[in-house]
Amino acid sequence: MTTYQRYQTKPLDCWQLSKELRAKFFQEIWTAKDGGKTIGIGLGLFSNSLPTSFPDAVFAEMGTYFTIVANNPEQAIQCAETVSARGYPADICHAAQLIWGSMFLDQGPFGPFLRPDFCIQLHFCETQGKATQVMSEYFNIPSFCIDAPLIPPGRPQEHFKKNLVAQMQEAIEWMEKVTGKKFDDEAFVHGVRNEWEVAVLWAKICELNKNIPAPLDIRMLSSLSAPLFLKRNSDETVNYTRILYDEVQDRVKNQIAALGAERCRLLHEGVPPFYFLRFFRIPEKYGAVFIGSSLDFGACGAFERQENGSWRIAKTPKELGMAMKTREDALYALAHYFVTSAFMRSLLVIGKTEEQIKRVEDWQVDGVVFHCDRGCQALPAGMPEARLAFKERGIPSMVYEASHGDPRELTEAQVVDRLESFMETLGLDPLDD
Amino acid sequence: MGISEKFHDLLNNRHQYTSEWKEKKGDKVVGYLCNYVPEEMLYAAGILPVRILGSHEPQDITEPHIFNMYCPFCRDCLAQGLQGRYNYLDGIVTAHTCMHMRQVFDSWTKHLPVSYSYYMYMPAHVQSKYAQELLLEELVCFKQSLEGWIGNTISDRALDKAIDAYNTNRRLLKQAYELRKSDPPAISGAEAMEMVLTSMFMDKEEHSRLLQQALTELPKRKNSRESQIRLMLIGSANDDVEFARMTESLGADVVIEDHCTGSRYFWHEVVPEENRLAAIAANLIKKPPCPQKDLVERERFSYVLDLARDYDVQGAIVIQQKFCDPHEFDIPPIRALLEKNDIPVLFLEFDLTIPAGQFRTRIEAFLEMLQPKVA
Repeated sequence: MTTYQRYQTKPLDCWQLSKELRAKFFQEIWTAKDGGKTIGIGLGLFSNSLPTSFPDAVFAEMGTYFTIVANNPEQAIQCAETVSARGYPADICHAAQLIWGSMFLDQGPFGPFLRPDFCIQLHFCETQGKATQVMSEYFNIPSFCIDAPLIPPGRPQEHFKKNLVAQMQEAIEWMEKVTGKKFDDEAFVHGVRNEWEVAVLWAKICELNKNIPAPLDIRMLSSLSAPLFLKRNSDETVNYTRILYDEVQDRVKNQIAALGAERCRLLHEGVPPFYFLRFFRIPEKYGAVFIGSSLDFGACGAFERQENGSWRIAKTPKELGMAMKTREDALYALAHYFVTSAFMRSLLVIGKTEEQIKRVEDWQVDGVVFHCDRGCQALPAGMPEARLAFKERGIPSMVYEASHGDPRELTEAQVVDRLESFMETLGLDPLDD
Repeated sequence: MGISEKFHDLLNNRHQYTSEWKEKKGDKVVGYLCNYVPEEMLYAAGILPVRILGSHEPQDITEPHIFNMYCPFCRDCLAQGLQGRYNYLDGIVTAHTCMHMRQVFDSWTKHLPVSYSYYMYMPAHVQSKYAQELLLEELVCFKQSLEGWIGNTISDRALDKAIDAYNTNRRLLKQAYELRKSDPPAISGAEAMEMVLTSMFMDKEEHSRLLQQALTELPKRKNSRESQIRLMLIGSANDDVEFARMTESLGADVVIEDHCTGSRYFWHEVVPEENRLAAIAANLIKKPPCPQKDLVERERFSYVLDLARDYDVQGAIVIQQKFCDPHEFDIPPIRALLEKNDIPVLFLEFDLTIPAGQFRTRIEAFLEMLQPKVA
């Protein structure tokens, strides 16, 4: 009989708060029209402050929405089929397909699709601006695109920041024109300050997962980050993230684990298959826990890339001595965030392997699971090269093919079998209880 | 050997050409992966820029490096490098483009010995009024980097000479394309493709001399063919000359195309200005856009439609390299646009090798469908 250490576990105290905030933020978006509010819409990873610093304005960040659509396999397939019927190839970004499918069908988890007033998109993955283009044409609404650069390590950055500031300044003027509303500089500065605080706190929370046992697992990270995607500029989100950080610190201090039987730590690379999240629970019976992914860490967390590829928590504008009083200050702080974001930069691919190796070391990972996602071209980039590098260094890894949004792309028996075989290659047997 | 055969021969022996060029000149050769790379700057530095292309041969050498759901063109390009066909390259450069070519660049620099590599940020949102200014800053960085590598400064005079050589070549290619407007066209689609593809790796001045010869000889060539159905090719990077040849053997003339390996490569000339890099930046920004950069307005569509009208196109074959996301996003609207303008469309999905028999049948059926309309 194998002996192993048992850690204490307990549900997260702020789980309920997280759920309530997520529900509240979605409700705010879906009832905005009834209240005569203006709705901006965009796909994934954008500043919430920029499009909402107007009177009665909400921003529909669709990155969380598609995960909810995907969570219902029947609905996800219906969306994909609807998009295919309109002539789009099946392998086109599956997140875009879920959003479009819901839009074309005019139905989704919260009832009929939104009636947005304008599109605004931070474009750093080639899908993003193209996905928004289709939405703006479908609704016949104006659209604005902000081009976020992907910069190789070691290059000058100031001209990129200057460019982003100019583009965002133009975006503000454009939104004033299309909404007929005046931009609220004070609200914007406050919102950007909040966004930065939340992003740094989230990075700190993810860093706490370097501890053994991991206080959180990948499913928790994914769920807990939802309010940050939806409204990271709000005071409520700041408050929630502070509470969460305190609680996770407390869990580390008291060795409260996500998985009591933790004896192996896994990293997931790629977007999760949202319709099959129990995938992440399969290793638990072997005492293995998924401690996160670059997506969970970086999409909401302010990490910067160090020269050796390691991700470190970014310094806040305040720590960097940046002023944060005027619109220009706040725009610069946002530009600094986009330009230095390790996650966004990793989509460049250059230098990604080094980052993945460092992530394994820094988060004390025993094995890496790569999701070769047939519906995403961005995150799987660099995975084969990382596998080669891992092999050289003796870091175990496996690959499964599926999709984050289309359940038809996943052969459950095969994927489960592969994962269980991987557990065995890691020397793990199913635990006795 | 006739001029047409000369281009054909050069394309088929392109590695021999570039290797011999290097030996003869003693200068550097740099491979590039996207036609947003400012070739004029390389040329001004005394470097021969060579577009990395595929060979359409089955291979499995890229499997450990690129997932199989990345486009066949990118895998084919990397395969050429891994098979040692580009061993003469001293460096590799790319401009910000799709994820797939970024992956090729990353794998290339990891596994193939080059003394220089450079990734240049090329704005994705070229319609932004700030894109050109940003690109200019990037060109300045690129110039400094190149100068550091070659150990020389790139003078304004050298830039002027390079811009002139490239503009001349563009002008001549455009004149050659004019020959495709006649009915029947004075040059075939396959011949035109070979002219453009050879331009992508040959010394521009030498290529221009060949083009001048072609412009003299080809209009005089006795054209035994009768008028055929006039087709346009639209879509992803396409260096498959044999496909064009097969299509034309079935009773069609490929009279124009919208590919980055075709008209988009040379369509606009650099307008000289005092700041040479600014002139190059302006030209890159106004290029007929790659779908990856065609935001927020669909400017590519008006370019495609204008070409279709100018070249009196009767049908279009929309080609998509399998898994090419940027083009996939554009396919339904571009089909709708063409059909709305009474240009029927055949959609074909390309892989590393194409199912010639199946494609032949589909093209024949498409041409049969077009026949009554043409008649």
